[in-house]
Amino acid sequence: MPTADFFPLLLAVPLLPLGAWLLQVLFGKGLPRGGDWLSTGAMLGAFSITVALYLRAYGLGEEAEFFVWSSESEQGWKWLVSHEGMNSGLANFRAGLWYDGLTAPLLAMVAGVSFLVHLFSTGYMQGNSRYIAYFAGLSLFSFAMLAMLISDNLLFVFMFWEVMGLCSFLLIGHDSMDLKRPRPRAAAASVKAFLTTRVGDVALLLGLAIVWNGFGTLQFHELAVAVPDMIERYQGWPNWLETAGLLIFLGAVGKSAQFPLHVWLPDAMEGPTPVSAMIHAATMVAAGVYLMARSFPVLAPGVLAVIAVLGAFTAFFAATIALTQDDLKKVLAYSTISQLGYMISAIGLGSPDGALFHVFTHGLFKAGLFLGAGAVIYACNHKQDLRKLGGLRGRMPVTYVSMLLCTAAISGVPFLSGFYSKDVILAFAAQGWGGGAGMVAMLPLVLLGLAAPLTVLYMFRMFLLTFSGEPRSDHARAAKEVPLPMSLPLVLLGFGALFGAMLWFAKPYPSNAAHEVAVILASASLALGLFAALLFFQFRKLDPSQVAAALGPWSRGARSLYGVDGFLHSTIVLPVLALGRSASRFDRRIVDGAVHGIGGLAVWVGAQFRRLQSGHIQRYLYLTYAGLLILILFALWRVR
Amino acid sequence: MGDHLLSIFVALPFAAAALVTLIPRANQAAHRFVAGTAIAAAFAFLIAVVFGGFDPSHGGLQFIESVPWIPDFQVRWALGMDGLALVLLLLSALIHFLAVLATQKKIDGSRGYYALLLLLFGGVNGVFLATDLFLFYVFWELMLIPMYFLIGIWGGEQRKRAAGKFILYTLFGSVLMLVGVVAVYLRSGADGVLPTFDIFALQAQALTWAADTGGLFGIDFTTWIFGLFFLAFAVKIPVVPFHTWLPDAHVQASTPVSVILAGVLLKLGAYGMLRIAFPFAPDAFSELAWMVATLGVINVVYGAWVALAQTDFKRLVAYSSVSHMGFFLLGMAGVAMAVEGTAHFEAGPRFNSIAGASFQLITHGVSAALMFLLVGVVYDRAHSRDLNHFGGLGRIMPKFFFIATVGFFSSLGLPLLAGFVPEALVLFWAWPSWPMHVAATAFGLILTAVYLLQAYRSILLGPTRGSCESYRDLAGGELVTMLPLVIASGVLGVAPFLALDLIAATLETILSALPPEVMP
Repeated sequence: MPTADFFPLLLAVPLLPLGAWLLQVLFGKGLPRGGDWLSTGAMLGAFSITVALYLRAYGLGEEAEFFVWSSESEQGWKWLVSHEGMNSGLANFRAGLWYDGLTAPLLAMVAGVSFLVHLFSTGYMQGNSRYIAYFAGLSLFSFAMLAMLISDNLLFVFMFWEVMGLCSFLLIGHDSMDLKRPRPRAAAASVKAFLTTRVGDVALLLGLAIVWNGFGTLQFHELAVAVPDMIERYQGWPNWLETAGLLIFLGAVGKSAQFPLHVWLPDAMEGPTPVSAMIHAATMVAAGVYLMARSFPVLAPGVLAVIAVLGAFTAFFAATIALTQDDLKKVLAYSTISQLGYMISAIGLGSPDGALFHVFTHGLFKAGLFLGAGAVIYACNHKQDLRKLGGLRGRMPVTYVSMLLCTAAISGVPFLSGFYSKDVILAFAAQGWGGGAGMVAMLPLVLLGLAAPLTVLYMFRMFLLTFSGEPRSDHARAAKEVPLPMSLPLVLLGFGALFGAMLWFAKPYPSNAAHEVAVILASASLALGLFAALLFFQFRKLDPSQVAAALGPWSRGARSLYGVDGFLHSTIVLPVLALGRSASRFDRRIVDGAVHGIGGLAVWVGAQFRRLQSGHIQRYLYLTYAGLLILILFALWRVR
Repeated sequence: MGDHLLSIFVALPFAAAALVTLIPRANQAAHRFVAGTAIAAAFAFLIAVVFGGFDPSHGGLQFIESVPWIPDFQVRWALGMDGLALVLLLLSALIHFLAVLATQKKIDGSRGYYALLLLLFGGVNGVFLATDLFLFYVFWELMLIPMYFLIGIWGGEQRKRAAGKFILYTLFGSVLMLVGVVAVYLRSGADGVLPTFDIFALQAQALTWAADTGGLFGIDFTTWIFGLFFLAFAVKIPVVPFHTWLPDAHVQASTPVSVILAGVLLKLGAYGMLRIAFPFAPDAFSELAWMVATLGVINVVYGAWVALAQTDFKRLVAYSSVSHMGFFLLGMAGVAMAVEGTAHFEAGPRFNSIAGASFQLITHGVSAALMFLLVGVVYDRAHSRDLNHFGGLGRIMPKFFFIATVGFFSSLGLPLLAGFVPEALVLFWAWPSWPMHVAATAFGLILTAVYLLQAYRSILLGPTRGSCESYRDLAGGELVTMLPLVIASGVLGVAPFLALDLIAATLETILSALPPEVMP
């Protein structure tokens, strides 16, 4: 049961990084090392608290909701109105805290990964021309995600979610202003990221408006109670609730980079690599899945079907693109999109717990992969083209082992963390198939099943091209292992990829039969994918370019990202901008033109009364008043 | 003295203006000092009122004064303050004070400039406090004249033209308002009682006017009244298509004048809507609410769309004002329709909707003023406002970068900053009445992000342009001018109740003046 000493501890988790941010903004220049120790230390503090809370939560057993500081209670932050009795009308938003069996591991994972990213950055960003701004942004980012995870209602989830949008915008664009190595494209990427997700965010806000107007609350628990009542009353799911579910889902499509709004995520690779780790593992994209898991009660069956299919499609779609990318970070970016597809699909398949389980394990190994990629990029003098890497195994042994563990985990090697979480999702997909609801029910299983061996193949392609064989450039030849602040996070995240699944409270399998299907599917995928990867990239028995040529248009399509970017650009972006120019011309010529026309008419009339026209505004004023006075007198006279 | 608090408060700026004109022409520092001190004193007075005598749980007028002024026509010198007026007065005093700070130390004709600024400030205070319709009208005119000169004398190259346009539009609005004022005055005496200019007495009477069958040209009396006042105030808000004076005026006006124009003057139109246009003709308003909502959506979407194509930074911000004020209209329209199917809280939606509309006045005042100060900084460094002339100021001007980020994102409606609060309130609670309008407005929110981020990117992001390398970061004075707005934006975003607590009871009173069948 809730205990009072939880409150300040839980509240301190987001407030520590927020305090670090504030101090850096105010005094950053005066602090030694720009205050990086301050934000890193604050994150370590926050992480320690989350671990302590986690241990206590674990001790309390697997009760789903064992600690809720509800917004109904007196202690919530009353956002709109501070004293309740003052008026009856104003429906108030109160923010409460929420901490349950799902929050506990997620919160600790996010705080831990954020801390490691901070630590890694102290090495990686050394000498950056905007070092303080970087750490300030990172702290604010962590604050927003941690605060979102302990919010007890969807409006505050939305609020911190938007703040995260700002932070990712600032951090993706960070290097665009760099003194030594400015990346002009980073500016475009940051704007693209914000605007693409903004489309989803606005839809989400509308969805929340509908939900609020239907139920009068956005609090998780109250919604979970109110929705079944409503369905009973309506004898089914009302249309407006289905619409709201779709709109909320659109928010997650933007934030969690699902097709067709995934386009911002690969471009976001323009940001510094530790930021990518932050966005892909701990914060931004995980938020979308978290939102869907928390708003699960309001999702109608029809909406769930859309979610399941779109997620599964994204998983497969992005996996095919990942196969064709030559940029180390781009491969990882598409792998994130694909894995997010798994999580989103899990929501649609009816397992929000399974989705969050995968968020948890994925957070650990994807952070390891991105920080490992950062280490490689750092060691190879900012080269990240797979064709220029190779042979780093002996040169960077720590990075090698860590990346191997993480790659194995994402591929679903048994007894590693990713195996368990992906297993749950596949089991739910198999169960849906077993339900025998026709083609649509089969689609998720088919698409997710196809994506599984592709995942193994593209991940080991990336891994082998980076670490095995001979170095293919001077930079790779000269690579050395990274210093301790950077290698320590890699080691720890390697352990996370190994044992992470054990830290999750409850593993939610649907049924034994579905579970068996999933295990068989996963093992077969692993064997197939690994075999192909070794054949292609380790023993070089097969030439990938020949296979690509044989696949013809499909391979070319994947390489050109299936033209989604170009399509969205020419059908949405360009017309919107062109309409803006037309609107501007319309405003100047027609609206303002009409005003000038009327003005010109007035001048012409004025010219007829030559004697009155003096060109002095004051004279006009006097005349106006004189005229009005006459009017008034006339009116008064008539009344008498 | 305690009985004449508001009279003293209103008179203070006028006395200060007189004092400024007595100081020798050359003593610019003294002009500035007197103006700054007078406005700061007014601000301090208002703060004292918030923590002292003001009772936020009382929705009616407080500190009431009323003495006959022109007895033959029942015109009274009548002042009174309620929560809405108090909050807007606070905003006005803050913005005027920052405008004094933002004015260059050396300015041609500083005596006239500061005297006019004080007259403007006094006129605005009078408009917010007047409870006699005639007095309201007098103050309304009184504040427009100084604005005309402030644009026309201390503006840019085409200042005369812009000021002329401003005054013509304004006169157009004033004439309509005057006709409306006279009409309601005469109507109030038509039933055999003494006619009155008292705003609240007129509101109470207005409920009986709906039964009037007569009218002009087949349009009944209350519709005429609503139309006249709506148009009069629409020019000031401004409502599309009466907005084209605003970009011209902004582009020609100097930075401090722009700050006042966007931060305070636009709010007067909205204040008039809440105080006069809508309570004087609630039935007509209910019937025409669809039009108000539609105009609101047009303001939001059209303003944003036009802003999208602007290359002049200041013009872009001016159009963003047009766009943002659309939320006010939509929020106000959210009051009007009968709400069906939301059994949970009958009074909730319409109340929150109008709360959002009122809150938008405050947040837009804060963020638009901040945006125009940012424009001023850029113009000071580059002597250009062309967005294509900049790039990468983020690295060389870190303080500016921080404040600009707050300004842009507050304007964009980022949560935890002020701009989000009214947008959420209006979108959430205009929804039951106007779902399609709200959906269209949401589209405008995306466009808002597009034009703001385009501008943000071209000014701040990217490699620093060679021509911009020498720009210096914000000086102490500039920082002091902008920080209050940054803090205000953050505080209002995190704790909107600080302002909403003050206006909630007032809004409830305004709503309760609605006729019973329109009431929720």
